[in-house]
Amino acid sequence: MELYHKLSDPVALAVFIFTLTLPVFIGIIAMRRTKNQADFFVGGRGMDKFVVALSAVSSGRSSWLVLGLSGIAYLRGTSAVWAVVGYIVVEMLQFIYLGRKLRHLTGEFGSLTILDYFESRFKDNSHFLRITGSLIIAIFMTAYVAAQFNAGAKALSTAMNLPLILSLIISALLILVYMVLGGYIAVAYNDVVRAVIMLIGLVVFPIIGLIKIGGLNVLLETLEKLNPSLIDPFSLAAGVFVGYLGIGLGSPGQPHIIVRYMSIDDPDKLRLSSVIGTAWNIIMAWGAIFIGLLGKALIPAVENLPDSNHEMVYLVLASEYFGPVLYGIIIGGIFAAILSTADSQLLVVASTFVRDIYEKILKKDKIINERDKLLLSRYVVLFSGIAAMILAYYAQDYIFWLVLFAWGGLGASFGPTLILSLYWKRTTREGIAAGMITGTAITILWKLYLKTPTGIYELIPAFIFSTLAVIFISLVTKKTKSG
Amino acid sequence: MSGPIFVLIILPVVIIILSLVIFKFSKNKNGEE
Repeated sequence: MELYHKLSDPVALAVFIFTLTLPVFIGIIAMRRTKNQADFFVGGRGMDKFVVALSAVSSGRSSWLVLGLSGIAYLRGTSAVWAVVGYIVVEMLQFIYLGRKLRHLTGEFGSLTILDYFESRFKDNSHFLRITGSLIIAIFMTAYVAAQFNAGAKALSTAMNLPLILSLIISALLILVYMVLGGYIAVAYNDVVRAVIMLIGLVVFPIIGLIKIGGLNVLLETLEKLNPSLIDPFSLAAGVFVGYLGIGLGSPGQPHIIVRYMSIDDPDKLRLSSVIGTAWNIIMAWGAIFIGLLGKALIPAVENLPDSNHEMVYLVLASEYFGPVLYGIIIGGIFAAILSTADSQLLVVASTFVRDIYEKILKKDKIINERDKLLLSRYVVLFSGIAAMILAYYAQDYIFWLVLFAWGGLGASFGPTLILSLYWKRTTREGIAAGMITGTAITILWKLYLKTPTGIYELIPAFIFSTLAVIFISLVTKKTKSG
Repeated sequence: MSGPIFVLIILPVVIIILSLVIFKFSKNKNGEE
């Protein structure tokens, strides 16, 4: 593909390969700090506020931010900002309120996963919450990881002209090597390094673009001439507007974001993490939006983008504006975005299998020494990663079908249940179970049957129904003595 | 032209100021809940 021909330049290729392999070295360094299972899954609850802030924000975004959001701005103009305002504000509050409270309680209970927390909070000896939650996480998260592997493999295959299966193996191996070595610590530090790489792609890139086009006013005038609705931030239909803002309802229920708060050394430092995380979220989002707007002004007809795909605008502009070194970094940045989500999600899948299913349900909490637990955690990361890779190759259609429900399904199942368990003392174990099941069921049913006729994003009704289910069932069941 | 300037320039600044205000007015809990 002509678009990527700069990667045939040896300098661009060398820079790209360097950005791909850098995480492995960080994994080797992180291995020295990973001495037990708590280190492996929550960084020993000793992570720095800066690392937690960047890691929580970066792992939540994936390739959607770089390719998807710039594509939305290309199509819809300035109204694309409403697709980011919801989650940025929700995550800002999440650090300070939900995050701090959850960190206090999970530290007190010794919880390594959200399901650990639910079981301790509600003294659920039947393991019903753990089993229900594990099923939801295993299904949605595994699909998520497989989809990220697939996206990474497709990008690598196109960029380096490799067969898809080989690209898939390389993408998965790149993640698995440092994850097996350094677990959460490697994942979190890699998020910080990738944030720096993404900074070039999302800050330097739009600034150069704005200078080249002649400034913000010229950009807006050009867009207005193309179509006045591109510069009208309120040109969206009400349903789309509410749906965009509603994306934020998914954030409190994503286990791979929530676990970040559980890893900080001092819960009160999440106050400052909130400011750092919000600034980083804004830099990434507005950078991607500006790139989409610049792309529209410079290449107005979508037919002029490869495959007439609006999500290719980022890559096309990068190949036009940058020399080989920066272009190599920018392609590496797209990979960084994909991988920073995939590794965080894979760690959640592994912690669910090791901690929630194996140790707590199958082994019934029998004492296993720390060395064996750590070794087991490493094996499970490796095997879960290989399983996700096989799924990504052989069950592509099924994976993409499941991923359509993943952000909404996890958000509606764990968001309301987590919030109410932290802030409403009357919440019961049965209420939490009802909320998880209702959230998943309504997400799937609404998406399949009611999204098209109503035009409403499935997460919004699913979140509301899940909240109501927790409240109603909690009120009609016996109060659980808090753990 | 004020609409796009608002969402592209002023809105992100307002959100960052909001995060600073919340930071300022939230209190340390010193490990107590």
